[in-house]
Amino acid sequence: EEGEMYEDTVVVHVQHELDEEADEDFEQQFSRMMQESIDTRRNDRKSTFDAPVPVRIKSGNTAEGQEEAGNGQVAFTLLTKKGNKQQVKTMALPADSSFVISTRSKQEAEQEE
Amino acid sequence: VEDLPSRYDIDGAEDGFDDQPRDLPAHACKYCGIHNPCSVVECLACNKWFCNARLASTRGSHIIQHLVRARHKDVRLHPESPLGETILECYNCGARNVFNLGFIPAKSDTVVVLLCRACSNPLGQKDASWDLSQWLPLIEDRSFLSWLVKIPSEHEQLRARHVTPSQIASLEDRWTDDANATFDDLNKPGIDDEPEPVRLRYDDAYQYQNIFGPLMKMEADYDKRLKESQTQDEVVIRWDQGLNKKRLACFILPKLEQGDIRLAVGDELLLRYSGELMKGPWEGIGHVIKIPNNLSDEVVLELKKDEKTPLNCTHNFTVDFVWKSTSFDRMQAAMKTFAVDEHSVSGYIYHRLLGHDVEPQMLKANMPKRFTAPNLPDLNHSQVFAVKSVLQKPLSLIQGPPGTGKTVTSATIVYHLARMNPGQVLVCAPSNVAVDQLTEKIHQTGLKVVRVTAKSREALDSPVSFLTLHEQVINNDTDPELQKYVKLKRELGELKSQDEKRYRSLKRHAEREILQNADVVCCTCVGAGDPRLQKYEFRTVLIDEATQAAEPECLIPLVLGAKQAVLVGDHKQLGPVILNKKAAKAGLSQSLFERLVLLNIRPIRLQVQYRMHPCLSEFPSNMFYEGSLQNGVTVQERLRKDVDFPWPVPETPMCFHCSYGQEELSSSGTSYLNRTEATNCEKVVTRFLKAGVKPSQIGIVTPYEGQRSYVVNHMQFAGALKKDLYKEIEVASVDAFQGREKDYIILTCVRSNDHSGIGFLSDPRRLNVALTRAKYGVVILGNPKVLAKNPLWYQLLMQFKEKNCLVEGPLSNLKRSMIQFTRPRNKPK
Ligand SMILES: [Zn+2]
Ligand SMILES: [Zn+2]
Ligand SMILES: [Zn+2]
Repeated sequence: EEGEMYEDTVVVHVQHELDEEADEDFEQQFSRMMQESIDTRRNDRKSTFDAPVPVRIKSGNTAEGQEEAGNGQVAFTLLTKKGNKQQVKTMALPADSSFVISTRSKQEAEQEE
Repeated sequence: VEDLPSRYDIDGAEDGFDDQPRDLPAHACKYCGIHNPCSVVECLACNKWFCNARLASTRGSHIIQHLVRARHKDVRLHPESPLGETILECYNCGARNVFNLGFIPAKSDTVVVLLCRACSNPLGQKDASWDLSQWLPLIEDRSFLSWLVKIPSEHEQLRARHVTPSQIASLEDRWTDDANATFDDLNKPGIDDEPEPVRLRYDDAYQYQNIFGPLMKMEADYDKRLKESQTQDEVVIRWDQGLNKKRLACFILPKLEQGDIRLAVGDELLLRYSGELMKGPWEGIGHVIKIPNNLSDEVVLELKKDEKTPLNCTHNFTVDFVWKSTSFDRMQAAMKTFAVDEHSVSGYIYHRLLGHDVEPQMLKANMPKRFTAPNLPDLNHSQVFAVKSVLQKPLSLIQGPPGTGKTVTSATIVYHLARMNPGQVLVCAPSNVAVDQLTEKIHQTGLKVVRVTAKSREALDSPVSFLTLHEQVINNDTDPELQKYVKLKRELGELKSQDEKRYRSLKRHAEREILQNADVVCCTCVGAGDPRLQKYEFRTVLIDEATQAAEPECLIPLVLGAKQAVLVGDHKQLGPVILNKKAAKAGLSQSLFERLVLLNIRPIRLQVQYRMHPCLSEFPSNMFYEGSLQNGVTVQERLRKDVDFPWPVPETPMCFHCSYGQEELSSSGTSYLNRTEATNCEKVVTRFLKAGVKPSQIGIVTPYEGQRSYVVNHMQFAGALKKDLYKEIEVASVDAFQGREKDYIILTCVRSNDHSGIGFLSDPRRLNVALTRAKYGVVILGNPKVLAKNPLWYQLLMQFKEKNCLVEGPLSNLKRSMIQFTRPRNKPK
């Protein structure tokens, strides 16, 4: 069993006809699920999110002051709710993800103003 | 065994995978067993855990596979994951559907929140703290964002159970019956056996019943499960009242638009209210009298009873689909009759249907001198031939390729059969639309026709309403007493029970009289199982669209005593819709017509098409009809010189427009649609409209529901002309266009992806239908590189190329595409 772990394993997957069908089926269902989710939104009359960023997080967590979490990761604060209570959690995002890059560049632009 | 939590390591230094599968913790992925808390999430609908791994062949991570296949939507993170136990929900409104959730960043802080699509609409924003335009969907490339739910390491994945997509599909299937089933259960003998497939020949009708019975049951069970699992919440009702004083509930059903559920007029729905505005809960059953069309998205439900209806409430209703076994029961009953009742069909037909070798039989027929029926168009050569040979044979097949005058031929045949044979002719088709069309044509010949509809469709207006049995009863002025009750019922809505009894008996009597006096009775195949028809014998039966009916469906009209039967259809176009994949695979999707063709009953083919410009019929004729299709219309008759459209070759109104925009994946949240093609579609449409083509003469065909609704919305949003014009343009699936025609057809193919196939479009019968709807011109929008991998599409593309109709670039400056195709390996059948 030890040896198996270090074997240079090459997984050759022969795709079965049934699998192709199952894949195709998944694709269709996925697309429906997406579409359905998007469409349910149309019936909603929800208000757009407009809340201010809570002050207590604001301090010391600006673009300049943000912590590098190491390994090319950036720490973001995730705001959640438990019941009506606000909670904050820390979440590590890869620094090279387009979300982080564009968020950062927008923030920098904002600060220059 | 060590204390489990100590093994988990967020950095992935340890794999957290247990070597002994028996000891898997409760939060192990139900598919593969991976149980690193950072890589798994719990499905809140079924409390099963799944990981975020994408194994070699599957598209989509395990958790997404599960959510999609089980139609579950809400999840929770593991308590020992970096974020701790967290239900993923919209920070603003609490919505939990993960397919609608995404992150948005604050504008000036490294703070993010999860928001649903509805709450992240930048249009309504006033406070500028959050950058709503940056909304990042939680699901990317069919898995959760890797920094939210870690993708298991390669090592973990190699050590995990390797599951195939088909295993996943069967396990999910099994869970619908037994929530605790495991992969090991799948291997147990007996449970998952493939059903016995259909045969070409059967020993006797019992064997026939023994094979088709279980297949039909599988289909029925599947249909039932599908329907009953479809509950629609938060429905908003608009109350109304029908002309017949019945209470109507009008509402929009989003589930309908996704094609998840097929709703037909006459279907039953259960409406429930459990909101706070009423003391107790309320529910009411009704049947659908209107389904969404181009003009309105509303479903209209006519309630059976109007008791304590909460007319003051409009919100928070729930709609359930009520499954009815009627059609399946009738098919089973027909198979039974076929087996036990020796008078159900003639001996000759009995043996022929079972595939036995029998001496050919000719009927003694007094052939008419003139084959054209009164008030119907003159027949062409192949139509006359079809009519002539059908009249003398006890069982015949007529194949009607697109635009070859199938309905006129059928109506003419019915006219002669009704005059030659004793008793009434029974005329059926699987769909109500086809029955109505044929009813109208037969009525034109002067024959006495009765259209029998299901009770639930009686309130429905149709072009042949005046021919329906119930209308004929109401308008029957020979019985003053019946008239009195009809009037009373109309005024009061309901009768006293004594009166109701009397009314019913008078009505039955009138019905009998009308049916007995008729020359022709028309109904759907399932309608032929109506109790009102069971006492009659129909020795002459014609079934139109027979290739779109499952075998047992066709049997319903036949077992009422058929001695002479005519099946009309085209097995080169789309066949019956069978929802259960296994049943379809076992052969339930093969029509009786098709099997009879395989048994060497040669269909008589109608050969002259009157629909398409000759350049449009060329490919279908060669590919699907051995080149036998002749053109009954000339190039001149099918050229609209007044319509200024930049056809690459003006006298050849066909065009394949190459575009290479990707089919959309989940990163933008909208999957299976193709924005580039949708944009091009709007431009083509606008060009046609500007050239004076009426919206009703344009059809947009697409195989994908996602694209359908995207194109509709896109035209509303981006259409260069008046919005109303675009609303009138029909955008539908290929399947919905079968049997119909438009002047101009735009086909948007959608698929544009290097790895996956071309899906729906690879079915030659669907391609045939898509290509043969247009009279004056076809524009195909697609990615030629991807499509050309399919042998049939390769041929099609080559034809467009040879005719110089393969183009790219803007409509105002179309250029011939120089793309080279390599012949795919396997040849088309
Ligand atoms: Zn679930
Ligand atoms: Zn897994
Ligand atoms: Zn929300």
